[in-house]
Amino acid sequence: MKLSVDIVKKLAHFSLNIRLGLDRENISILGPSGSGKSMVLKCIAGIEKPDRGRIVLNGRVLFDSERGINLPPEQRRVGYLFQNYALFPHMTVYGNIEIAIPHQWNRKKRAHELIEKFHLQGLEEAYPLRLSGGEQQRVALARMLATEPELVLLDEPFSALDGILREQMQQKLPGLLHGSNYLMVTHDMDEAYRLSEKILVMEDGKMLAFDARERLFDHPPNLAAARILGLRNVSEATRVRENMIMVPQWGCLLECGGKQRVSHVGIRSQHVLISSSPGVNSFGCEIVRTLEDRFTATLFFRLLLSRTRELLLQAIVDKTRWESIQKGDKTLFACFPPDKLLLF
Amino acid sequence: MAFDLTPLWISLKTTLVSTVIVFFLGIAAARWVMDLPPRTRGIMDAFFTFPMILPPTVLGFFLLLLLGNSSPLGQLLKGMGMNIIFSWTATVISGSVVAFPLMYRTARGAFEQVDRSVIDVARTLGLSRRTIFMKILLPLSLPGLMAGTVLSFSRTLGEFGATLMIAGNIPGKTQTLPIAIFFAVEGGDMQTALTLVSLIMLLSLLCMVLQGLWSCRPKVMVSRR
Repeated sequence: MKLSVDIVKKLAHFSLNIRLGLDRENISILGPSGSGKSMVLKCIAGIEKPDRGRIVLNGRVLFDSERGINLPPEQRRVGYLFQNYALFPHMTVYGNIEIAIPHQWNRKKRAHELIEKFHLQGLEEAYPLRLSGGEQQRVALARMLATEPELVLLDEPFSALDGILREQMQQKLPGLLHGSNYLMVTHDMDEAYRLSEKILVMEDGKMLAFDARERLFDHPPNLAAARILGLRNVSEATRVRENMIMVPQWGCLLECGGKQRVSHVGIRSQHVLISSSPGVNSFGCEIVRTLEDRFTATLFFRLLLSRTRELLLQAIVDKTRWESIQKGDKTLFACFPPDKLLLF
Repeated sequence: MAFDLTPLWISLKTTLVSTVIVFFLGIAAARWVMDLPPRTRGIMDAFFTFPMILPPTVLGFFLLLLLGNSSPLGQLLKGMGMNIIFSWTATVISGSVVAFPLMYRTARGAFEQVDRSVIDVARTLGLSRRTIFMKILLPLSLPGLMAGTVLSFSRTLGEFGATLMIAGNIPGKTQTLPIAIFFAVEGGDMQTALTLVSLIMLLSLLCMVLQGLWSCRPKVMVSRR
């Protein structure tokens, strides 16, 4: 499975400009709502027409503005799972699946195979509105795979599911797709990380980054991408010595090697250490607010030496650790480990 | 006294035939307009809706010009041995023309309220345009299409102005119920007028009741668990 996309399309508020390649792997497109993610999928599926560019799937040209090629969706062999699943409301589960099977001769058999594979037995005669969210999704998946697509497009596939069901489907989805490669759109970075090898980060129609997931999370290429990838603590910074940067908004100097031309520094909330003993890049701090989850706590703090009292930094710590810190009455220190600092 | 029921039969025949014609033409036009580029769509939309905003007499006047003996079309029809003006066919034509915008408008509305993603997904599933239209778009817009049909039926049943202009008042041939009522009242025959009025009211009422019954039939696809 090989896909290459290079398209430009003018939209109401910005212009979409995407270039990506996919070679036997799964890719997520990550971006905030309204960044044009779904439009990319619609262009690949042929529902929307790009202004310029080229889309090639397994050597077949689906779209080429220069050669005037624009295959209609029905000829592209691209499966599309809509966010709301878009089941045919007036057809039963069986009807929904059967209508998508291309060959007349084995329709019945194939429909029953799919019903079995997607655990829909007993629901054949049910209408979509009677089904739960998870059942609806399975019907939509079965219907999509009935056409034997060469590529699968998933538009926010889990946004209509809640809690446990969402986790279950996230686990099962790759198996249900039976090895078909997919291109998924999501605004949830954990979902993107879990379900794809490569991630494309976009905002306002522009690609901010496109890389293997680990590399992308460890070394985001720019600040905008890093923010979308969950970086919360960011400040302007200037290098003052070879292994020292000054961070005016946090009011401190940080020991840190690496890149010499620096404009911003950032650190993930999970990487900030809160403890009662000082160390490298440690500063006395004061916790202003906390947000407790079941197993972790997000601490909003300011550095004591900081003059800018408005700016709060974030750290995420283990709940047990947070409880033991609370018991002690000592001064707290926030530590920014040099190897965890992200420089831009 | 044997009451003359021919206006009722003429009206019923005219209305049924017109409604059937308008049903298909309205749906076809609505479907065709849907795929046009936005600007052309706007122009065609205005054109198809135009008969609705014209007074029926003005419409009848234009039809008279179009189909009359002095027009090219009228000449052509005459050459083929057909004379439309003041014939029963004329009642059908005027009825269809006045009802067409109603059917067209409601059909367009019905098509547009069908969830776009359902149509889009059907295309990615490789279904042909014909299959999508027959098996998905039509069934999903059925309630709207039925409403349009009832509207068209009622409009044609009550048609007076345009019909009088091009079909005239020939008893037993082009005299529909509304026209018969008008001429009964004009001739001071209140008894006949009243009977005819009751008939037309009954017919309209029946139509509404049938529509009401149809719309509250059990709907499997929208019933919740």
